[in-house]
Amino acid sequence: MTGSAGVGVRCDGVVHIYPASGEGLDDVVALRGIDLDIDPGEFVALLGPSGSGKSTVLGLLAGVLRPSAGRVLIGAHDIGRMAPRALARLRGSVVALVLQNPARNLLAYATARQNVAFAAGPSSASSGELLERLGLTALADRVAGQLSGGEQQCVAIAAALSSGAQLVLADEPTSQLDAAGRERVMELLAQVHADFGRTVVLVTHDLSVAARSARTVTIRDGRVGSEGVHGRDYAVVGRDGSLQLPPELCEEFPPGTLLEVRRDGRDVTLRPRAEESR
Amino acid sequence: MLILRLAGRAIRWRAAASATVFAVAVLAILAATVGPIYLHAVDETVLARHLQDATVFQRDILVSRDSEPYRGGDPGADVRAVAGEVAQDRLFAPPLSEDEADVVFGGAQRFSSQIASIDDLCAHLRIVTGRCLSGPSTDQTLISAATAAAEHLTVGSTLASRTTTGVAIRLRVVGLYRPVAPSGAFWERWDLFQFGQRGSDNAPPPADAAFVTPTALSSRLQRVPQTLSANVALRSGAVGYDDIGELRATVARANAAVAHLTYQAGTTGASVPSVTTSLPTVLDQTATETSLARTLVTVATAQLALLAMFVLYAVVANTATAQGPEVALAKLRGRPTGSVLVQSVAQPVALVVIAAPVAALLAWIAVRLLAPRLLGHAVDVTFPPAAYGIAALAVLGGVLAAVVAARRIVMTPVGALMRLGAAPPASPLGLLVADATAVTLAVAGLIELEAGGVLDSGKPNPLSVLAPTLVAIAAAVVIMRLLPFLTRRLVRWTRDSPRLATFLAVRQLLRRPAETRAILLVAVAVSIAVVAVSIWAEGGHNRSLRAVNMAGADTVLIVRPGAGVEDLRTAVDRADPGGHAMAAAYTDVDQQPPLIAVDTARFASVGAWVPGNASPSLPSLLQRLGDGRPAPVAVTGTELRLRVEVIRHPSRPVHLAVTLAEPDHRQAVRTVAPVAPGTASYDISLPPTCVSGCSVSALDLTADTPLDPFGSPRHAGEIDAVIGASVRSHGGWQPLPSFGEGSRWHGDGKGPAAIATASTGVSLDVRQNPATATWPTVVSAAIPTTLPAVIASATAALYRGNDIHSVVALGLDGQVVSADGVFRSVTLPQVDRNGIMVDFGTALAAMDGPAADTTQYQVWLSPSAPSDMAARLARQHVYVTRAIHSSTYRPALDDSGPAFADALFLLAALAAVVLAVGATALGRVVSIRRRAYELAALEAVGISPRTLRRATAVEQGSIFGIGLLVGLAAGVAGARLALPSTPVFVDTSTGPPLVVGLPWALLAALAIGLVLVFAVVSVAIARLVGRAAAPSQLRGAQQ
Repeated sequence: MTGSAGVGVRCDGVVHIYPASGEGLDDVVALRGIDLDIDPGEFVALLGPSGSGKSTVLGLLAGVLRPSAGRVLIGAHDIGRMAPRALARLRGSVVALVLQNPARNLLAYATARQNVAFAAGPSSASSGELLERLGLTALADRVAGQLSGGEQQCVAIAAALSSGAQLVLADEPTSQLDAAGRERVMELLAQVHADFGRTVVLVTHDLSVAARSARTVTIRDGRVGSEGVHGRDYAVVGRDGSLQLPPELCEEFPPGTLLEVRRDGRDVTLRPRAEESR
Repeated sequence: MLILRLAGRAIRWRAAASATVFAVAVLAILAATVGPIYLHAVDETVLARHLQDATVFQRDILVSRDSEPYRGGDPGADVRAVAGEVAQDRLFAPPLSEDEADVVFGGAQRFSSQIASIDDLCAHLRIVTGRCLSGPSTDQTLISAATAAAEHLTVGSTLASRTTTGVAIRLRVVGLYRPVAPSGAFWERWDLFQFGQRGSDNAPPPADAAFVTPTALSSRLQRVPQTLSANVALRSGAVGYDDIGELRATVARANAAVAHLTYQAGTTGASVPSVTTSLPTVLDQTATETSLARTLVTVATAQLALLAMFVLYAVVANTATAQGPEVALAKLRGRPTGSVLVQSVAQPVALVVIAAPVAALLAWIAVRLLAPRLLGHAVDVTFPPAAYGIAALAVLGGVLAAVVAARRIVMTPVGALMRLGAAPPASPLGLLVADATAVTLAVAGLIELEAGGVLDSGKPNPLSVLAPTLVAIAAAVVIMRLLPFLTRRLVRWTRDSPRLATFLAVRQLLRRPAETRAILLVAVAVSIAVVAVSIWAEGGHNRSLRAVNMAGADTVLIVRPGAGVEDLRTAVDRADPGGHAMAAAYTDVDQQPPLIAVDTARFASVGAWVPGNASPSLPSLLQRLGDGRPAPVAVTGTELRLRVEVIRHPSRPVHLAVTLAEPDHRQAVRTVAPVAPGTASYDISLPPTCVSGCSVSALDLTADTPLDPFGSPRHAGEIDAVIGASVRSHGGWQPLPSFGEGSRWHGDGKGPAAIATASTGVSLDVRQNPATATWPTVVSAAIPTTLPAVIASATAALYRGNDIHSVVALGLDGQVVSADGVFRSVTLPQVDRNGIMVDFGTALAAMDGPAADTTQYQVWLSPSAPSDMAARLARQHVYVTRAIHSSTYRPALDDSGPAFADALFLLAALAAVVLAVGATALGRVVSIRRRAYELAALEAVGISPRTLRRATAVEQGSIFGIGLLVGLAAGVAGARLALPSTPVFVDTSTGPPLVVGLPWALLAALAIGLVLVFAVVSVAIARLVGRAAAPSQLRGAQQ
């Protein structure tokens, strides 16, 4: 269970629309065609401003949401085509989600050990053993509702691992934590990635947190805006050939600006029309 | 197992919420189970009373057989066999055998009696002289001391007797006895001690039985006809209500055994045993009474239980909804649906299951504590099987409520659940359909009750108490649906008003229409309370009226007038000059129909009367009974002088006779004969009693006339005379002007009579009847020819076509009188539905002699009569021998199934109100906690805590207020529908008609009480806002 390898993720032109939640309101297009590939065992951070759609991506990967269009593949599982029961099984065995609010990841009245056991299901191995491997033995018999936010998130990560999930998704797991808690959680996620070989996808808007991952993907306006690899940011060419400019260039070249694309050897140069540059 | 362990931890973690669910579950299950437990106690009480009131002849089973014609063998064997069959039932004692033969003792005096043998004889006789019977002797006997004295017998003497068939039996007396407890259970069955009683006209007087050994009678079977019996006594104390079926089966078995013997006897002419018992009738009466109570108790507790289940559903649903995040987590973890469902319902179901035995125990304790008060005496309270069933059903209801409440949250997609943290609110369309269904069902139920004759049919039907609840449900749902329209307008009106608290309250009512559903709960509970109070008050009032009617008045004094008290009314008038505290009455209830004479001038203030008794009003009825007669011509003195002027007369001598009524109504006739033609005066000595007042009853002016061979006068005679009178009193002659008034007299119809007032006296012109030769008698107009009477319904029913204008009755003097039934009434005081009621004065005037021995003098007292009435009467030489209070009849009336049910209904209504108030308050507290962030934010923007508290109080008060108004209106409307059909008495064939009316004063007190309770609760809830609106809530809510 805990020894399973990570699983790969692939999103092809994923669109997600939230239907209008009230009379007189419009539908909300959260994702406008995401293309994303995550290899098995990768540690990826999804970055982006509020409302960019990164949590929606995580919801889709967790099988909590279904894409309005496009395909979401978790290993060989096509989320959009799976029956609800199969999705539930997927969530119980392949994917695990750690939510932003520590309290909502756990049963407040249960001990850490019971929470891990509850997440693991009947076929799981000893929850005590897992907690010990993660260095959380001291928390094992404490009631979750009485733990600090950081401790709760650590137990939540342990619970996520307990089901044997190959893909661990974490939605801003450190946003409500102090520095120490944040550090502890990130160490644990790194351990999950390094020691357990799980694929980890982390949503955050905290660059320092994102820096702990090998790869960052920035979501902007429902699309993949850029990717960072080993500290360098890259624009991503979409399947349709589209390209998002970095935010600072967007200010310089407002929407509607005509850019001339020139290739110069290995370089590609974007140059505004002469009249407009003048 | 993990889920159960987690449920246990969750229950402890949410201690307050768990305690609430537990408390509501306990209350709901308690409400459901208390009904069957109480009902069982009622059943036992009613059965015990019926068995206690039944005589041994009714409740025991007697198997008997005549020995004649004698066919040889043992005729007692069949009797013992059938009795043995009965005695196999553990509820019956071993059979007690008795043989007896009718004989006539032929000693110094002849007596009708029996020679009898009976089991266990010596234990129930006290031997005065000699010894008891022993061994199988055939010639020894025991005789009673009384018989021995009358027959001059003693121990060693021979008792000679002869059977009805002439067989002589001689027995040697070995002992004289006196029976131990002759009217007790052992002897009651056998009527063996009759010495001194009145026998039949053609037989010697009865005497006590002579006892012999069984051998003495069995050895004479061939010659002496005997009755062989075996009594199987019911062990009343061991009989429970659940044994009724067994008792019926036992009686049926005995009858079947007799039928079998009859079949076997065929046409041989041999006698067969017979079974005598009224036990099935006693059981039928018990069943009738308990069935009335059963339906009412069932309806009352069912309403309470349903209300409790409604609250339980709401609380359980809240608990399940509060687990939204946990369910979302379980679904996020991919747990199977079944597991998620179990997780969702585990907590409330565990609490409901734990609550069940606690509630059942509390219900049992509650009934045990309340039963002595409600049922009037201690009763063995058990936990009947029905209570187990109901408790199980209640648990099932709780589980179902949990499953239904959890279903929505379990079925919600995990994405929506994570976003909302709970199940989405119920669909407005679904709620509309549910409400429309509720209203439709309620209205359909009302129509069904009306069409099915349950309501207002005049027949008792406990189902009628459903009506108010149905009205309340329909009205409350409609009001709830209309409320948003009203609050929308109110929001606009209050938005710009300075009353910010009112605006906030109204806005909240508009925003959260679901919270106004508490109106339904409050309305239903209040309507049940209104009906319960009305039924309880109506029952109590009618039982009081029946008790007063049985007595005749609030208090009835049986009195003995002292010497010189000839007219009880005079004494009463002097003792109670005000005329409102007491009234005289004569009754003669031993005659048929029973007669009661009341003082019509005082009856309205004192006597028992129900407006529905008769169609005319009581004053007009009393006026008809008492009016229309002039006062009698009173004569008080020692001599009467008559001045007679004979104007016309036949040739033969004229006679004048004066009939005087003495104070005790004896009639004394004084004759003046012959009366000379012309004018002359005649002195008549009066009876000595006339010193205290006599009256002139009649004048007979006659003359002898020659008759033809057929007895008719040859010439009908005529006498024309003027008669004046004066009376000698205190030595002087006083004129008697009333004597001369023509209106004081009338002819008796036996011949023509012209009567007028003349200047010197009364002018009489009487003529002989030409056919019969009779002269008319001039009778005092004060003496009624018929008694105007009110005839009670059962008596009136005896007359064809209800023609009650000529009812034959016996007057107070025991003489036959004709009563003219001027009115028919359902019932009359004291005599109930069989009897007639006349005016006291008229009945006195109709008396021809002293009061009959059976006439009883009474003085009736009103409830407000001063306590010294007996002393006041004593001062008037009227002495109280006994007092009967109407309250003495009340316990027996209260000791009935409907009264027991009324009491429980009242308690159930009280519980319903407590439940509704508690549940509504709880809902509000939960709501305030949920709105903590909003309230804190409002305070943060500058709205004072006082305004917030007032807003909450107004909001809560509005829900209570609307619920109260709807409940009161629905309760009053429903009670009007239900009361006429609500059972008050088991026996509706007696007593005055029911007085159906709402107890407005009591209902007003109830409304005020409820307003106070609601106000206190509203204020208490509002105080919570102070804590909920603390700024710290803002930080907590953000996290």
